[in-house]
Amino acid sequence: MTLESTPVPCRRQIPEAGPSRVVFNRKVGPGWLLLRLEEPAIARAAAPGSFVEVLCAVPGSYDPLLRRPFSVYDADPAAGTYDLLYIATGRGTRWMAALPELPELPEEGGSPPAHADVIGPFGNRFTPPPAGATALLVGGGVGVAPLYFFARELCASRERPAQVILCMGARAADQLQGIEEFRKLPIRSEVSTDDGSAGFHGLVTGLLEHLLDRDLKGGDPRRITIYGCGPTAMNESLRRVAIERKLWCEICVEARMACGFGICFACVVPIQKSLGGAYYNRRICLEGPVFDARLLKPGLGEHE
Amino acid sequence: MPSLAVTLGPLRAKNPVFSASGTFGYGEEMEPFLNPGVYGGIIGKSISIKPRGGNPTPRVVETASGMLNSIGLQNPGFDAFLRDYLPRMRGYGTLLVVNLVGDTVDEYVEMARRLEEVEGGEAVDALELNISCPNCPQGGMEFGIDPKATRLLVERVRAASRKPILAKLTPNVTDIVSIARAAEDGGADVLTLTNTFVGMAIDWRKRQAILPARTGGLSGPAIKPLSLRLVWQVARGCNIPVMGIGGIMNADDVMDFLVAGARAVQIGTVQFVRPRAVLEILEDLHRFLEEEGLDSIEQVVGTIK
Repeated sequence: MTLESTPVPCRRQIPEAGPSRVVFNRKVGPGWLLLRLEEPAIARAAAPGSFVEVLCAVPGSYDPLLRRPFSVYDADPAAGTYDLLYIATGRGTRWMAALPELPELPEEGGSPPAHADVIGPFGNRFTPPPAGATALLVGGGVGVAPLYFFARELCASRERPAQVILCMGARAADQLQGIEEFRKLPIRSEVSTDDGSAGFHGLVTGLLEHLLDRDLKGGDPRRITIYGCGPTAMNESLRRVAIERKLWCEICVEARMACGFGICFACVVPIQKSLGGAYYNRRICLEGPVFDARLLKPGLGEHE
Repeated sequence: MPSLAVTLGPLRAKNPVFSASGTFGYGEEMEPFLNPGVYGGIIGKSISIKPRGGNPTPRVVETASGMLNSIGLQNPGFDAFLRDYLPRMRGYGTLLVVNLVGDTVDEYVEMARRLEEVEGGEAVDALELNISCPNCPQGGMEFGIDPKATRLLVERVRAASRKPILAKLTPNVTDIVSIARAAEDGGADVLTLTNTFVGMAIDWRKRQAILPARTGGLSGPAIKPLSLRLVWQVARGCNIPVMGIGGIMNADDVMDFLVAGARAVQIGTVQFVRPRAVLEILEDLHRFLEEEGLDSIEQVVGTIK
């Protein structure tokens, strides 16, 4: 029986992924974990901003039912691996945290390697800045995940921006997990904390404005590109700053999803088709998650 | 080789697995994963006469072995559907069912009538009437909870269209058989059972419902036993074919619905988790028939003792 009879000319390619082998799954700070998975097709297709959907249940179990979306934190196409940064807070992520780490292929007759059922990558990516521009990466919480991937890509790119500055926000100093990884890159890293226990005292968008007013003052605003990813409140605050200052900005938006590839219509955000146009509910998974800040509706459609 | 083909009243499907409305987009979204032509039939997301923006977010919340949705029938509207979506769906090479939702009887009738004018009435294979969406004041459920309104609506659409009519019923009623009979009396060809069950999820610390609309429609494996009971009951109490839908995750679930009396099924929520689920299900159905020594899957229908 041939099921795939006549192929339909497909407009979008999602690799047919096999099981993702767990390479390692380790703590990188209080509550934060880094999961490295091996699946060459996903590793090749992943890009900064794109995300994958992880099934967080043993095969045959339907609880938890839905996959969990994660931005790709890093990928190594040569090694066929990709990394996910996550916090074990809910049922799905706690299940992920328990994935066994079996770095070596098993001996014949040995126990099977740990695998995760992952599909993707889905979604678009951050647009690289023009050569010579200043790229400001603004992140909060695990929202730094796609920014790390992007920072690594920018550092490796031939047409490097003139400078890359990370602004990372957290509630307190002990929640700035992941910052050490950014500090290993040849970029400038700045932090902010709500309680002032490290770096700039205030919101990460306050830190961003501080840098714009102090260090980047007098420069050509057309040579500043901003990339953001964080909780909705941070994203909205970043959108406002970028609009007020007329700066080019892309924001990686998050929302509760059921599927991750456009069939459920759950993860929508109001977007203008073009500047000044009417707002439409667009699917973040299909048309995003990265959007031009100017097209996002003030408030990002958040109801709560 | 055993046959998976089924007849559903006037419809002939190459296999009994259809894709449920609202879990398939308009087909194009599924193309990266499979050829939408592999289904026995495809049912597009509900179309209303005017575009609808849908409900505020969050629109979904996971529950035990299930999920609540409150999408709110977001859709591009009937005109955009005809222009931008229908031509592509027609090319998939399987039964094409258009799911319609209206605020009023006249809106259902107008869409049914206008579909008769497209391509000499050959543009679609059947209409599915959504009289059961729990998430909108105008989600059609006001028709689907009342036998008289159900019968009137189906009669009016019947008079406006030559197409086979599927009536998609809500489980949120006291006596589903009376609604099902009303749809049958109105001229429906097939009964789709069921839409989602109204449910609720609360964040007690916030003293708040998680969905802004407060309630949503429950789907997924959590509802399978509930749907199965309704399908069994209606299949015994009505004379037109039933399509079973509700929490089907695999081929065993499909067989359960067929044994209970459904002549075909729709799969929905499983596709959010496994977009290629239909491929596995069809292979397993073939295997089951071979194991059971059956020539046709229709030999299974209604065989419950």
